[in-house]
Amino acid sequence: MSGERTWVDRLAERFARGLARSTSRRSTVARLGTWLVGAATLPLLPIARDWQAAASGLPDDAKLPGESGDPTKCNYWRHCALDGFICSCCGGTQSACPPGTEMSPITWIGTCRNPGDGKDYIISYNDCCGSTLCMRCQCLRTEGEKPPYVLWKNNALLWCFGTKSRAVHCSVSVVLGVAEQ
Amino acid sequence: MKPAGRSLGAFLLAAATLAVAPAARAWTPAVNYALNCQGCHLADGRATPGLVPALAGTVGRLVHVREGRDYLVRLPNVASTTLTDDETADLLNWVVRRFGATELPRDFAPFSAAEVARSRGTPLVDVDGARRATLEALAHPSVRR
Repeated sequence: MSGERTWVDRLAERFARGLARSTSRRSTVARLGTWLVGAATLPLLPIARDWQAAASGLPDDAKLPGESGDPTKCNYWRHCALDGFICSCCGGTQSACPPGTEMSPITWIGTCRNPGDGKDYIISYNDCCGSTLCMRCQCLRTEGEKPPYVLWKNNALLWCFGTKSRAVHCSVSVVLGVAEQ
Repeated sequence: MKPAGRSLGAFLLAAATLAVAPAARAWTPAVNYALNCQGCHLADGRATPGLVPALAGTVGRLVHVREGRDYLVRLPNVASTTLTDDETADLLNWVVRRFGATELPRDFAPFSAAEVARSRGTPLVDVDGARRATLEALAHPSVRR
C-alpha cells in the first residue's frame, strides 16, 4: 500500500483532532465515571423495584389501590390475622424482615380485605427468624385463622421452618395477590 | 324466662344467626392452592427439599396409577381440608396440571368429587404401606412412562 493517506484517514484524523480540542481527558473520565455510577445506582431506584416486583409476580407493595393505615399498628388491614411482633416496628417493613434476620420460606397464608378497594388480598404471614423476640408492637388478630388441629392455618405456631435458626423475631404480612372468586 | 322458653329463645337466636351468617366464599383453585398448600409447598411447587416434599415433577407421576391417585387424596392435609369434595377435586386437577404437566398420562382422567369423597373417607393410617403400594404400582412394566 502507498504511504499516501486516503480520504477516510483524513476524515478520521480531522474528527479525532476536533474531539481532542473540544474535550479534555479529565472531563471524559469524569463523564465516564458519572455514567458508571449512574448505571450502578439504577437498581436502587423505584423503577427497578417495580420491575423486580413484576418479575416475581407479586404486586408492588407501595401501589395497592387505596392503600391506607399505619403498618406499625395492629389494626393495619394487612395484619388481620397476624400473631406476633410487627416487623415494621423492629427495623423491617410490613413485607421485609429486619436486617440480620431471615424470612421463613414456610408460612401460613390467609386473606385480608383492603378497605381501599374492598377487595380480598392473599396475605402470607412469614416469620423473620434468627434473633430474639423483638418485643415491640405485639399484635394478635385472628381473621380466618384456625385452631392448631388445622396446622397450616394456625398463627400461634412458630413458623421458623427451613431457616438457619428457629428463633422468631417478628412477623410480616406479605401481599401475594388478589384473592379471586 | 322459663327453661323451655330460654331453650326456644336460644334455638331461635341460633337459627337467626345462621340465616345471616355469610356463606363460605368459593375461591378459584389457584387461590385455594395459595391458601391451603402454598405455605409449605411454595408458589412454584418445589417446596423445601428435606423438609417438605416437592409437587413439581412428582405429582404428575403419581396419578399414573390408581394407588397414587388414592394416596394423593388421602394425605392428611388434603383429606382433612375444609374444602368441599368439589373444590378439592378442582384443586387437585389444578395442582397436577400446574406442577406435573410434563409427567401427566396422555389419557389423564380428572379427579371427580365422587372420587375425592370416596378416598378421603378412608383415613390414611398405614402411610408407609400406601407409599410402598404406589411405588410398586408405578414400577410395573404396564405403566406408561
